[in-house]
Amino acid sequence: MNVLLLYVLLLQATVTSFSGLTSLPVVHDELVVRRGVLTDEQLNAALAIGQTTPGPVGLYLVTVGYFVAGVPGAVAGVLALATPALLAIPLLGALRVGRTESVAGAARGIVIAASVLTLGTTFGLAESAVPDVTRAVIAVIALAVTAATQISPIWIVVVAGIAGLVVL
Amino acid sequence: MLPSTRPLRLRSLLSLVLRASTMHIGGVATQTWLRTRLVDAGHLRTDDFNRCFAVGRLTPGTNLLAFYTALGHLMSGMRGAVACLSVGAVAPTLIAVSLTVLYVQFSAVTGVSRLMAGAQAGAVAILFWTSAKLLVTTTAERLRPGALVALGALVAVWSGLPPVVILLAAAAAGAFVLGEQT
Repeated sequence: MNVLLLYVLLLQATVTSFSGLTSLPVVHDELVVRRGVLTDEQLNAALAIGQTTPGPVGLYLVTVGYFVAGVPGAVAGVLALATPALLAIPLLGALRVGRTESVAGAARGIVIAASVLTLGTTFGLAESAVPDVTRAVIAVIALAVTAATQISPIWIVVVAGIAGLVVL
Repeated sequence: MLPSTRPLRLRSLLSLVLRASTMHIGGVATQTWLRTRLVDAGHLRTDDFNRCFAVGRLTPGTNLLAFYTALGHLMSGMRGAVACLSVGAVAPTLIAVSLTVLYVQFSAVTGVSRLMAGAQAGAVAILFWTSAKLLVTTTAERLRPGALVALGALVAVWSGLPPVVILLAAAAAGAFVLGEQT
């Protein structure tokens, strides 16, 4: 896939998201469903790698880029992550003026819609990530630990990986 | 640029951003760590830190990178913004690429594929929880209009509209009905 096109598609995903993983529905729709340059399994692997890597949660886009187009794709991924951040500079000025209600409302609307979309995407990804009872048990335990404790996701994913190594 | 009681050189700020972005996962843990080293140490006022935090939340894309950019701009101008963004993005990217290359090289090894299979099951579970929690907490900020936007998004998903269209429509609706201060 052309790296410039990949950058534009990933940028489209990041510009329309307001938190790390809410870019996922657009990435899934464009790269897995429409263009077929990424598989659900690769997207699941990218999520797992992203959640065990320090830094922004949206870093899974770097791995997605690598899977689609190698190192240039990874560069496209990080550029797509970094480009919207430059909008922070004019927003600093806007916050100083104090007229942010509409922007905050728009951001809130996007977060709500993106959460709904991400939940839908999660069910699709679960079909390949949780195909049997053993992995369902791992997922349920991970879900319970995430919900009930403050343990960092990195450790939950690492322990889930070790559990997979032992029982699968 | 920000006048502060205890000025911080750009090199020192970049060192903090580098440590923050390679020691923590996600925005909240990283920002809490940086707050201690900037606000509590007297390099940045609380109001200015909060402004950077708000900008991070309101800027499209990754919250943390927008936060770094705002922080760099407040403390060292445009040069600081670009430098903080670059360090905050590139350092974890190198780790992510290294892990990805290792995965690609060794994914055929049985042990590695089992490890990744377990990790993927855990990652999907975390994704489900974080999405559900984000949906509930954000909707609860403005319950009725928030629930309406969520319902509208659900209907739009069922009707098969492209995600980008749904997100842009939600932004337009949110600007009108979700914009009041909580």
